[in-house]
Amino acid sequence: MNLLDKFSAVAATRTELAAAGTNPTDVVVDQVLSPTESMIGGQRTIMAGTNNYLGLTFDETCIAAGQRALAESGTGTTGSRMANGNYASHAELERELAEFYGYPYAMIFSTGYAANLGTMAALVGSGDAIMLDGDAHASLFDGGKLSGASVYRFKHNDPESLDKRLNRLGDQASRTLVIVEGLYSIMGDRAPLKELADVTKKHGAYLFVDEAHSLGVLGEHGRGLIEEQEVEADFVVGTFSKSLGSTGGFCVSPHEALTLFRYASRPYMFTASPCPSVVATTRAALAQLKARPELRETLWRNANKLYNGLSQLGLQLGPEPSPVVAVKMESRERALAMWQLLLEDGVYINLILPPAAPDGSSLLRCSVSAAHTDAQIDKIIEAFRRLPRPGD
Amino acid sequence: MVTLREVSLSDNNTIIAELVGLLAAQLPEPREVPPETDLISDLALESVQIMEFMVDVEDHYDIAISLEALAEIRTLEQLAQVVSQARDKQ
Repeated sequence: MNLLDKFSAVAATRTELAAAGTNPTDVVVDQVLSPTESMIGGQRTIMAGTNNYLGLTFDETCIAAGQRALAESGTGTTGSRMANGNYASHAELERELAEFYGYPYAMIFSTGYAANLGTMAALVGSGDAIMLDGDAHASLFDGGKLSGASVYRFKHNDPESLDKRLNRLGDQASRTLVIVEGLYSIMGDRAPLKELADVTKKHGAYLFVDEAHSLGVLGEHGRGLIEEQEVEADFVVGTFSKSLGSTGGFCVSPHEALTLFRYASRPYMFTASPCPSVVATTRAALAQLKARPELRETLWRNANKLYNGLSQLGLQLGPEPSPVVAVKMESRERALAMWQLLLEDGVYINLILPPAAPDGSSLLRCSVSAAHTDAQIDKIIEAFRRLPRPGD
Repeated sequence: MVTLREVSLSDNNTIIAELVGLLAAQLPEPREVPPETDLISDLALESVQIMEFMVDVEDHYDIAISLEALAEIRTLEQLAQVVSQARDKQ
């Protein structure tokens, strides 16, 4: 077997995915019309799988801020924060994030993926341990590998399972990072954060919360699950690529040690810093998130409308209403076929096939935006209603 | 006289029998699972099922098995050795 032979299985899957028409992993958006509409395959399509929770990608203040930064600071930094790529706007964004969370220290990264890898790899290493929720995002598993720490998995959202495992680690528990997410990206369920935080504290471990899907979505001020459940985490990580509509990631913390991560985090040190225009649109979007709580209210109204509408069709959904609405399909083949029919009907959503879904099932995953109109939500529900029933 | 090696083998056989019992929850129908069975290629278990099985194994023996140790395990026999070593550490 040579180096390239292992790709034959991937090629077979790609052929299978493409057989029904459009390959779900290779959809080309020809033109973006708005935060919720695009042209795909010559057809005007409602985008209901974008993670664009607050719909800020076409916000006028964000676009103007990005254009100004492009004109004033150029297209890119061409270097790391450790070298020539450390701009005043990076430090300003860090200061604004720290202030927003009420934590003294903040650090930004070039992507959300790098934020998880960079924080984890700086924080834990050989001899330390990571206790990871079983349904955690791939980037958190990758961060575990990069760190060199021993990685253990506990049952999803199960404080008792975490307690038992921390107990088994004995003295090593105090050198353990417990990692959970605020809102889980596939099923849209929240972590029982208060209980998990209590267990973590009992064992002297450290709590890391990934708020990628909950920033701007949960909490009175949009700070995420830590705000909603009044928990102080040791490290809060998030991304700019969802509610804030740009790219990049961050970590905030009450621990001064975060300021030293800059010298220990390879995903921070050995990559170019975020572009000035990206930093500018992120800062403008964060200001919008703070100033316009009505965006969050509209998001939740839309999320509840979609969840209830799909529920009334008798579809099997994720455990609770949220801006991530997962529809369980009976088989991989049916999921693929139904995804195709929805796209042909002018609705784009995400197809989740095993092993990406937590219980190995196949899902049609919708994500809702504050920018969706009532008519668009109705159209999404109607498109699901038109799908053939199993056995038809 | 029973040698140390024989005790160890007997211990391993007991663990393998218990593992087969725990594995049954992940199999669509009852089947013979010899110790050298490859959990992935022979049983066609999805990674999700392997993870659930491992959580059951950890809870049954009250041990912790790291993901990097898990990555080296292909057969029930190898898993039994890891379980045995983890129990010895405690």
